Amino acid sequence: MNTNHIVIKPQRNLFRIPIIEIIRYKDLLYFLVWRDLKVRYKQTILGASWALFQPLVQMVIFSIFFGRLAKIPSENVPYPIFVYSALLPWTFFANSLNACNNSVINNAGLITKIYFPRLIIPLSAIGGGLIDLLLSFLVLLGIMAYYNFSITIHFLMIFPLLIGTIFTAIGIGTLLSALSVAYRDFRHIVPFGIQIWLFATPVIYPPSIVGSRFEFLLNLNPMAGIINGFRSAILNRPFSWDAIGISFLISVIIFMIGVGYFSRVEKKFADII
Amino acid sequence: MNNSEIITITGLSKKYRIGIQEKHDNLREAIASFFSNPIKRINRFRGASDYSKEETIYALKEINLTVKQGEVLGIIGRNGAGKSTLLKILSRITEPTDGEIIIRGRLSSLLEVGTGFHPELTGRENIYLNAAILGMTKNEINEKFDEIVRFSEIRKFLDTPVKRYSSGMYVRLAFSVAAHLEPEILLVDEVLAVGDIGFQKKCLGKMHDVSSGGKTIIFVSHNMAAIENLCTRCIVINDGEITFNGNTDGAIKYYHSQLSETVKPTDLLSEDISRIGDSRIRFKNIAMLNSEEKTSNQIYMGEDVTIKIGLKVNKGIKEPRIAVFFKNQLGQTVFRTFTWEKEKDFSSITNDCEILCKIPNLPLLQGRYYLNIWIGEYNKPSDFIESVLSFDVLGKDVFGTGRQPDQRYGGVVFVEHEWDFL
Repeated sequence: MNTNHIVIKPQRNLFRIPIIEIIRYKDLLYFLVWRDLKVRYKQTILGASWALFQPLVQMVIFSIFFGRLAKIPSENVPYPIFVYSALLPWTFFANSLNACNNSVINNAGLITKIYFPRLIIPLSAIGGGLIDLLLSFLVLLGIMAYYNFSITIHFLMIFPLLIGTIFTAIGIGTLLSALSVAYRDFRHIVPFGIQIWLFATPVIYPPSIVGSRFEFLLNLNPMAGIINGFRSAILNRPFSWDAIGISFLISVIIFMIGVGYFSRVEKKFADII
Repeated sequence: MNNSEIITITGLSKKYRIGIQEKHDNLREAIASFFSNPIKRINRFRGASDYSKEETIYALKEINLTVKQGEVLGIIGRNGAGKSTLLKILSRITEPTDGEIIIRGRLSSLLEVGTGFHPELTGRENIYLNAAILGMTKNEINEKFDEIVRFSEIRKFLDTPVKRYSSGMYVRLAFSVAAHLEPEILLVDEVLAVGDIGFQKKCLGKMHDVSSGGKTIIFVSHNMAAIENLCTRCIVINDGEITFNGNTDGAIKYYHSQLSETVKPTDLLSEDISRIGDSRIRFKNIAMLNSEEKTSNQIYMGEDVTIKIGLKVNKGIKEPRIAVFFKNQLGQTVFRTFTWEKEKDFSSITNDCEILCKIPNLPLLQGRYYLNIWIGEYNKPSDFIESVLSFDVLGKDVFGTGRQPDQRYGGVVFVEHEWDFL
């Protein structure tokens, strides 16, 4: 019987990630992701293909305004694929933050009525975006074929880079979702915060445009090294390992801060939501 | 440690902060307050330990309780006594401020039926979702799916979004999922108070099966009949403390005696009360008396009640008229009593005095009600106070049939009536 022994008392430890609990509730995580996807595309005609439109439309707009009109350099690569290869991870990242931001508040009904590891909620918000990302990769393959890019060994780097992206998204996402519970301001801050972040990340421009003096500053943004890494992986270009290394380090720090803060305050959610 | 003790609660307390302090709804205030009082700020999420006593209330105070395996423990108490807080702590929704609970078994809690149901999803999809939320794994759900559908009796609508369900169907589906949980300990909060009578009986039966299978149930309810039927032991919680712990009959008697205890009369002359009128006569106090002429705000359906009103006369008025409005929780006036309609002449009121309004056989259904009181000359108000008093009407078998009239089937009042062939 002691296998199920639970002790409930005020939590005093500062940092605790309930990994075992999350594994035990993995089916709930699965069903919450599944619910969000189902609900998102219910009563829509185009269904899941909506997930493809956002990066595609952005690609077209950015190609016209930044590629054609502003003539932003794209390092000898056609601008549309240059920007799309970065928009893929960026769209996933931005949507994850948006989804996480409101996730805990939107699930107030669950939080005040039933126990489960609360981290499941922002995690499920990110999980839904991951499915959208997979679909967008299919479009990427089409665009790559169109511009005569082939898949090389570099493409494998996508997996570790994706993990870096997920770590950053979880870090910032959990932080935002917890903060939104106490301060509804974050619901307003996050959407334009993401827009500013887009311009602080080499999505529409190559990192070289910033100049070597500020490149270090750019790399403090964990998404900078990661996004540019994606581009290198997809377009078969050399990786800038320094930038990727710094980005990973920072994304791990952000992950620890976000998850740590979330785990510390999650016990109060039901009281203040 | 005794092995059959499945739950051990020691020194459990839960404090809540109340009132105006430290509730920032926006960041600006939070930042401002951070700079004015950084330590308080940092502790905001960590608990209320830094707040003075005036700012906190104890929802639970030093609770000690053990529950043995196979017991069905009832918890009764007034609204706000701390029953639900106890269940929420036991089910790990909220954290205690102090004390410790040891739970030796798999615990499921049902604080609501249909937690997490999504209106856009079909019955089938909601079964999976809700069962996962209640802690079942995918395999367990697959195994029990057919049984759940059979129990719910809604197979035909399995692929219809639940937003098109009637409330009865919704509840059936939700309860069917919950009834198929297989925990060692089950916490239930008032959820049986839903659905039609036949289905309620089915659910009670299912719960009974659960308990005779050696499972432990903790059951919070206002439905004394259900408590009496199910529970082997019962505790009464009052103001966050366990004031009775023993057999079910004793607990129900104790609870009823407690309900009719004196309620403090509020001073209506206080500055804090918002009112309208020229104040020539003012309401001084008001109380509701139950059939035993004791002040109470817990009244049974069909009880003879008396409203006692104290008046302070500043300057007499001609032919004062007095009205008492009974409002339900939606703010609708269900009925009112009015001196003018009953041709009661109170023109003799020239000094402070007390008046009574007797209402035999109160026809209200269960729920919370509020009183507005009005006094004036013709239609000119001297004093008018809204929601001056609230009281709960408790269910009772007024027709002597064993079936309580219930608001859920419509209506706000019950009336005596007969059915027969022509």
